[in-house]
Amino acid sequence: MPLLDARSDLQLLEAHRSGERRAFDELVRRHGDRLWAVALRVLRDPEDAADVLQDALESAYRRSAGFRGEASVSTWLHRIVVNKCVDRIRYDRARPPSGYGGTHRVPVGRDPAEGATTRLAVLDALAHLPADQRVPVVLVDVMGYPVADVAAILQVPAGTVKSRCARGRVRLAGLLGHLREEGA
Amino acid sequence: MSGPEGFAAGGGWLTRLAEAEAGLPDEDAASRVIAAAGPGSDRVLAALATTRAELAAVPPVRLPTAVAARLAAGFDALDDPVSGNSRHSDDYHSRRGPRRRPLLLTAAAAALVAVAIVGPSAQPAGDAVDPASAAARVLAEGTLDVGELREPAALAACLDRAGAAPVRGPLLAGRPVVVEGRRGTLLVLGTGVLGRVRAVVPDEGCGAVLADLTTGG
Repeated sequence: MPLLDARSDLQLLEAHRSGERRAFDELVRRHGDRLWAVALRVLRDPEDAADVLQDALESAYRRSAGFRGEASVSTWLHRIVVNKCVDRIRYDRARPPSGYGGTHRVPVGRDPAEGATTRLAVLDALAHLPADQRVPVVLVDVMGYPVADVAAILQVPAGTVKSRCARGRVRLAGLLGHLREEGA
Repeated sequence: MSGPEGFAAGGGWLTRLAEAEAGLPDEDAASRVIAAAGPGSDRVLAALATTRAELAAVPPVRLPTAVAARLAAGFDALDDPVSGNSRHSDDYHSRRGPRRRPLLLTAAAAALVAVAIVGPSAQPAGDAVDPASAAARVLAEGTLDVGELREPAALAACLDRAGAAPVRGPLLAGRPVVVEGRRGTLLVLGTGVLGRVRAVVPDEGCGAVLADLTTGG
């Protein structure tokens, strides 16, 4: 068995549809780290992220016939994961995190040596963004995906991605204490 | 004191500035908006830049072995015609064949082995589960309660005495378990293959192997 499978993602998906046993495993090997990162950064809780990733990939595994080829296989997999994440956020919305109020300001270390503290605060603050802002902020600003790719994943215009990111950044800047009112 | 929502509530100017910073509605118009933003815009733009920098500094993560093993087990179940799950198309199984990654147990009947994780009182701490689930749970917990088997030499000697295959990767997790009434130690070992782990259970005296399987990847 070769160490690396030289086939394209599309060829692997077609092989999976044809019943090749390990083709989908190879797709997960290629994209699993990034899909996991998306789920973990959007949902924050590792158990939730694991549940959602499993649900999403099993859905892709079962319904690969639904892939029409309008987007790349990577975009298709990301879209399924993101949609499952949004479903989970909406499901959990009736159970908001305890101890958070609308005026809570997340403590942030100002010293560069407190980088770990800052990262925790960033992840904490991300969890308080609404889903329609959190997802594009994670994809663009945390994962570093190009806006055009995120637009394809979310199936919205690029301008919508930029606008949602902008609004999310404003909200985050407030949560992280970077934006303060005059005289504060 | 008004918090961050205060910015959003009165945030027309702030939102327009943030959208311009993001290049909306287009680069030329965005430049004009920023140039005309007036006092305070520098502070806002600096805050947005800091926020972006902190988001970009969130460290990358890798798919945990335990999650990869869970995914693999889930795909296996989808391919198992007796699991109650099925592929979307009815003719799939006829093309796809039987279960892909059977748990590599030392005996065929071991597929029915039930593992109970032992609690502090030496009594089973929860429902009995299959060996793969027990391994995934112990991995997820990060538990390493294996006594002297934590030492590589002792681990190798134990597996040798028990008649198990030698260690091929690092000891990732482990804890006492009861396998069909016999006490042993669940050892989760790396295999060198991403997402693939070996779960082996020597009995209490390293005299026999109660379960030995490789799963995931």
